[in-house]
Amino acid sequence: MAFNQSFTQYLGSLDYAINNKDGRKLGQLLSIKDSHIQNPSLKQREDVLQHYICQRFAPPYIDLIADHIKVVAAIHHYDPRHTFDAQLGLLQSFSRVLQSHKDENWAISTMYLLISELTALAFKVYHYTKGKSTDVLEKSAEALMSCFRICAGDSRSSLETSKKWGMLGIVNNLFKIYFKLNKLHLCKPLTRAINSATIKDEFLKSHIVTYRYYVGRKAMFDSQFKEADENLSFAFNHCHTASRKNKRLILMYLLPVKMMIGYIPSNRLLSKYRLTQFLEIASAVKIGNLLKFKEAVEKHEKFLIRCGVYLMLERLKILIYRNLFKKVFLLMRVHQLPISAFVVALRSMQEEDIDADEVECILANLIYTGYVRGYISHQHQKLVVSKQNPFPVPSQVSLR
Amino acid sequence: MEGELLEGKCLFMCPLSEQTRRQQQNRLSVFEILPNATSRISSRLLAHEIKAVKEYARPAAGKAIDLNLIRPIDVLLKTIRYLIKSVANRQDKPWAAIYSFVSNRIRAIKQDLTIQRCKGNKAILVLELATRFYLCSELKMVDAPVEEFDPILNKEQLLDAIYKLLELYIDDTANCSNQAEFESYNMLYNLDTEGIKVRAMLMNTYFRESVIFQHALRICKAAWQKNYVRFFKLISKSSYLCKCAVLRHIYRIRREAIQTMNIAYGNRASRFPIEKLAQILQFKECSLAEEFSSAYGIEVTCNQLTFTKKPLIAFQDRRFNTIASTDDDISISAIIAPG
Repeated sequence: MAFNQSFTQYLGSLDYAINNKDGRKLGQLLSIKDSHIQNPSLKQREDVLQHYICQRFAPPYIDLIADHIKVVAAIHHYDPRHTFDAQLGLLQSFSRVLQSHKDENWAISTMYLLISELTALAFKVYHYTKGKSTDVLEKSAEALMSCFRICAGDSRSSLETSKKWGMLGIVNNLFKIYFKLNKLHLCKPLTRAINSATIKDEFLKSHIVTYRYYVGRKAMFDSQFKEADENLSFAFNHCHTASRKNKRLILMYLLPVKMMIGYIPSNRLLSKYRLTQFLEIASAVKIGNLLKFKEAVEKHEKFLIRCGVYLMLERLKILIYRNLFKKVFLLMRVHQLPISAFVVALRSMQEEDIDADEVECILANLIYTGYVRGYISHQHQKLVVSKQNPFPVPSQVSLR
Repeated sequence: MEGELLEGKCLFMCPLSEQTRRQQQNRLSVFEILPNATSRISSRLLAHEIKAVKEYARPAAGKAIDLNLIRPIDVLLKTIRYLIKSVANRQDKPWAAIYSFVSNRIRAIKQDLTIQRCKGNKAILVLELATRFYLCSELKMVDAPVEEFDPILNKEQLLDAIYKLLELYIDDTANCSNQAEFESYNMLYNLDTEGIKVRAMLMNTYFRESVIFQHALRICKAAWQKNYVRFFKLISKSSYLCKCAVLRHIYRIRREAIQTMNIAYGNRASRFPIEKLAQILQFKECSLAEEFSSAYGIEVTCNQLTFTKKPLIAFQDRRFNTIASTDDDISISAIIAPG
């Protein structure tokens, strides 16, 4: 809508979009990013505008448009919280519109826009209050869930006109919120719903990529590294090459997972996606240098915490021990290795307060998890490794 | 949007109407009566204001709140201080009886706190004392039978207190001088829950200089990395309350340790001294370590364990939750209300 159009003309465009079942256009006309927001004719008194709306539209569209006007008013008051509350109201009116549509699904494109803007506003308020107002996130999730139920419950319509196609877009937004709230357990019922949908492989590609990204991140959190690898790799490979930013984001999580399985990323890959922070980390893991690893992690701590992989990296320590101890084995060339040799190796990494008991404990964990094949003899203070493949390739080890 | 802030009007530790009622029903606690009272009637009069404490009662649905029965924050603080200094510290009564009385009365205090939606530094003090009390109880009652100590109820009350407390610290005007301490207890207590690691990392950015927090974080990291040797070593150097906070994980970590050792040391010729196990896993006595191992089906002969990789039997026994380095003769009130 042009900046200088009258309110009647704005309503005309809305009417046109609705009659032509143009979901995208309707979304644009209800978007807070569109230029119509700045149009002075929308700043008239609410009751005046309401009069015009009621003249032209029937319920449930009256509330929809009136609520959008409320959003516009809140924006002009520069109040993020009120804008959020108004947008929430708008989404609730929209749900009623959506519900009133029988055997048609053109409004789901409108829905994607409204929920994405609601989520963005919620995040804005949340950051503005430094994480205190979790209620905006929770309220958004509730509103999204009711849209989800409308879509998921649309079983009567034919596939072409079903609202089920909207499910995945909503789920991805919900994931975003749950990750922010650190309530990952709430993701489970959603993944179950999507996995049991018959159309699960036919959703929009971009939706599927985003979905697999979140599923992969959740798996990473649950230490299910194979599952994390599958999903994050899929997301990375199918993510549009033009979306550099998204590819980088996926890679940030895929990298530690791959390292956990035993693959070290190439310098080329890391440079291409500007993730050279991982260079030092990856190389430290590969050569089993615990000191370098700790230094690298400390150096990039802020970055790593911000993207949420810091904790994941702690899990790599066991691989570092494995690589370091394998070096000791290769140097000494015997199958009965004295525990003291490992103590020396670790002390050289500035682990000054480490003693034989702790080294035995680390070795015990390596054996238990399958990274080392052998046993410990406490009374002889030796690690006795198997003559066959004592240090199996990490990618072959099934992670517990 | 906010409900009007209610302020209680009862200036006694126990509302007078309740004192009279319980007096008549003969339901005063031994802690609420003066000693050496020959006649119950005359001693009851003196029990007013000094010793009677409002007891916990389930809120009746639909009943309006009577502000005359609710104690304002100053009285709540005074009450909990009294309970800690004058009741919890008593040597002449078994801890089970003390626990039963004090935990009930603290529950009532929390109830009054919630109804009035108290915030601010006094509320913080009340909840800090309550949390420390519940923590101490975890350790002191570790061997108690379920009739005397319900671990699920204690956990529920502890978590309720600590979550409310952590919320109060968020306020800009709050006195957060003890926040590091309580974030540590929260982290240790909830060591194995989802989401605690994320919170730990976040808190780490605020409490980098805090000795107690960093120590607690090292304990947690040792647990997360399955480094049982370091875990128990660090615990032996911890404060009494930190030990209380981490207590409920001891059993599980010992079990995981012995499972790991069973595989890693599993060899017909391999022998592992029982004293070493007792030292590493911080058992109070070698005999306990021996019992623990035998209960899992691990053979013990001449003070040596034989690990055979055979799958272990599973069971849970609360005796195996005790830690070697805990002093039993410490002043409880000094722990809970230092200074």
